[in-house]
Amino acid sequence: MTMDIEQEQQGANLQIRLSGDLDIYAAASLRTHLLTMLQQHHEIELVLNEVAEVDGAGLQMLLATKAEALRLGVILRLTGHSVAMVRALQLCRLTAYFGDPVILTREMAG
Amino acid sequence: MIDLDPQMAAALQTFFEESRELLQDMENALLFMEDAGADSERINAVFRAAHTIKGSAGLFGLEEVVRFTHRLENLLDQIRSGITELTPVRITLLLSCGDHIAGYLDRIATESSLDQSFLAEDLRLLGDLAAQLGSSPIASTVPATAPALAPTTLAPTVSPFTEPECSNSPDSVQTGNWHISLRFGLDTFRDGMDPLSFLRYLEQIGEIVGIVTLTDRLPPLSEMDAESCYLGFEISFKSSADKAKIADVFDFVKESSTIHILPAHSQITAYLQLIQQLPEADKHLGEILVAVGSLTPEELKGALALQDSSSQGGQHQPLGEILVAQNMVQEPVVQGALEKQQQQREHQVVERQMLRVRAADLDQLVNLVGELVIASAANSLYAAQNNAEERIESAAQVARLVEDIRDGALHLRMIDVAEVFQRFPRVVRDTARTLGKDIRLEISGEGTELDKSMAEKITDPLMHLVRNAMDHGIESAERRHALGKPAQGCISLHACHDASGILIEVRDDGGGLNREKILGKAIEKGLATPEQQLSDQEIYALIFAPGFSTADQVSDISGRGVGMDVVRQNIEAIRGSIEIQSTPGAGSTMRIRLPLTLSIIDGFLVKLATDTFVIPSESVEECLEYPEQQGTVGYMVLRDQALPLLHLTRVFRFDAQPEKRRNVIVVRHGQDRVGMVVGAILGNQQTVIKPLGKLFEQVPGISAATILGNGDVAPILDIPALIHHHTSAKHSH
Repeated sequence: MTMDIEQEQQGANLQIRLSGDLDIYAAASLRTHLLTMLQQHHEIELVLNEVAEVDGAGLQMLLATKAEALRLGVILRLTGHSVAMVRALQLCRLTAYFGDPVILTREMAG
Repeated sequence: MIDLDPQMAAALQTFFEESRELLQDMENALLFMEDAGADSERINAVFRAAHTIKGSAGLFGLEEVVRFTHRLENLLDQIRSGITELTPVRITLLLSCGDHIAGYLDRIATESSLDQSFLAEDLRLLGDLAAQLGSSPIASTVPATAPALAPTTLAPTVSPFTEPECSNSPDSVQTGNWHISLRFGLDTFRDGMDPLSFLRYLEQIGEIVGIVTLTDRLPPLSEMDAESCYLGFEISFKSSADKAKIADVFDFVKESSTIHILPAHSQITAYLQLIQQLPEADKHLGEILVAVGSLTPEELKGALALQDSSSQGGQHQPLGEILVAQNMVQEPVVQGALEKQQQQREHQVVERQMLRVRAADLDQLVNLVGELVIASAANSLYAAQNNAEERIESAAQVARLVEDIRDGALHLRMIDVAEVFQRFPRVVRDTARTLGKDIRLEISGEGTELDKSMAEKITDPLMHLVRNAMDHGIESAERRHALGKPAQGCISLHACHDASGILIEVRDDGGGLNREKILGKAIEKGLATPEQQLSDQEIYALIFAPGFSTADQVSDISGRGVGMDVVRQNIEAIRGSIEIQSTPGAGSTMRIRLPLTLSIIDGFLVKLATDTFVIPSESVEECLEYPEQQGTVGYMVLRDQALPLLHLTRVFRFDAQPEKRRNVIVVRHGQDRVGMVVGAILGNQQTVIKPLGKLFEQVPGISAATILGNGDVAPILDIPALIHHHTSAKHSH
């Protein structure tokens, strides 16, 4: 499933919704997009509840984005983690690194 | 629930099977400790079982199972570290938790929903677990739900079960875990590999105890190539797999990536060399190793000090030398680790050498072998007809090989009777508690093998017999005391090979069957008449009659009166038989005889008029010529004893004239002997049992059919039914 990026400005907060597979195929375009957004905004929220699959490249992209945000002083939040997203973060024990609250939904528990 | 591709579905199936085995191990260990007291090895085994199930369940996204097992694991962890004691109450709780996990698995496997009572049980157990859980700093939480703080460095989650195990040499590090360093090559993604899938695979052969994701090589977002891989991992890995197996995980990336695998209890120098070899700054990397849990802070300090002293001497080793040195160091270290894990490994290696095969595939194979047996018999027959010596010889050779293949194929389906018996310790324990009796179980005859399909079908009848013996057989403690018996009752399960099959015995040391009571009840129920002269055997056999129950009180355990006749039916359905021996005051024995296999028998071929019939050789005792001059029809005298005769031509209503030469085949079933009057005797032949179609199922006296070498169909005689028919006909006259 190819990745779709939608975004919406909510006050200071730029909400970027990623849907589809966060993987090697999406990585290049996502990098360009996020790089631009990080330079233009001070507060970015990545909404991840539509992320269907995550691979190493996708995870690495999030890590690089986080590092860039820290460097630029941009507030970056990851929200609404999908099941696949939670699993990938857990696998590498990275939940704490990103530091965003992860909410387990009923769907994940089922 | 979850949509799975076929491969995952197969993996899930394996997970179910393995989890059930683990739960069984867990139960065995718990039951053992209940009797013999807690020991750390078994507590560890129980913990490992729960932990493995949790890990695998997580892999399949079975979050409910993970959640429940996690709570269970918390308690186990406390017991393991000695904070909480393993009391009988807790053993009972742990056993119930094991059952509950099995319940989860069953429901997931059958895709049935979690009903109210199950969820209520869930809540009750979780409550009990929480109550048993002492307040301790160890209590851990599910990592995913842990409120995450926001540290600026990578913070690894080190599970609470990384406490060091004893080290085996002063120079080796404390942890008993493997350490794996991974630096994936830049082209990993482009080669179609995903580092995450390697980690997932690692989780299948062990447990990732600690992991730190390295981002040191990750360039700034503006400079990075999104399709290059910059990821690296330092992993503390707990597994009983050997180094080759762990290295195999990374087989596809071993060319392009840097991979170091340090065995458990490696020399501290091995870690030092690892630190030197890897691209990251030594100190930073050292801290990561500590964070992962592979080194303790003291060990790191020691290692760095060692490094300083060697570089002060002006002898900073070049990389090549270090590699050589590492190779030299690693060998004995690996050896040491191997020895340490030997005992634990041996058991697991035995398991690994097993191959899982679908039962249906095996059945298919046995069917084909059956056809082969028939074809081979035909082959021999034609060779004999042509009287060509070479052909006869080669046919005989083929026949011998086919026989070997047959034995081999049948052996594949054999399982150890211990697998049938293994669930009984729990059954006896629980039943004894329900009944308020003190009963121990003795098991003997493990190693006796029986056909898998038979093993499945014998479990229920055995279960019933055991429960029945505990309920009706073994007296209350007071009564036993009054009789001068030991207060603790004993049930024993025994298996062995008998001449013609397998013998399984359920023995109790209770009061024995009450002959008068059974007879009274049978007369009351119209199953017998007061005038009948019945032997003890015949009276005992009455308890297998439909609707018979002697229990004064209908209890939960047995005594609903639907059991014993079903037991007999189930046993007879697999061509087995059951008989009872009982001594008043000393106990009774239920003796079940089962054939070796259900699909092939040695048959004794006889002629009736123009048709061929097969008598299972196992029932045949001897063959005699029919005494034509004797004059009586219903019996003959054999060695001064009367032998009842059964004229098969009459049983099957053949109209043909009596044959000139007739023979008597003496057959036995249990205690009964009957002479079957037949025509010519054709001899022994292996025959493949073919079930009769629906149409012929009800034909009395015939259990199945076989196909002869010449293509004729020959019915197989149902000896037990024929004898039974004969003896009951005798009684009614």
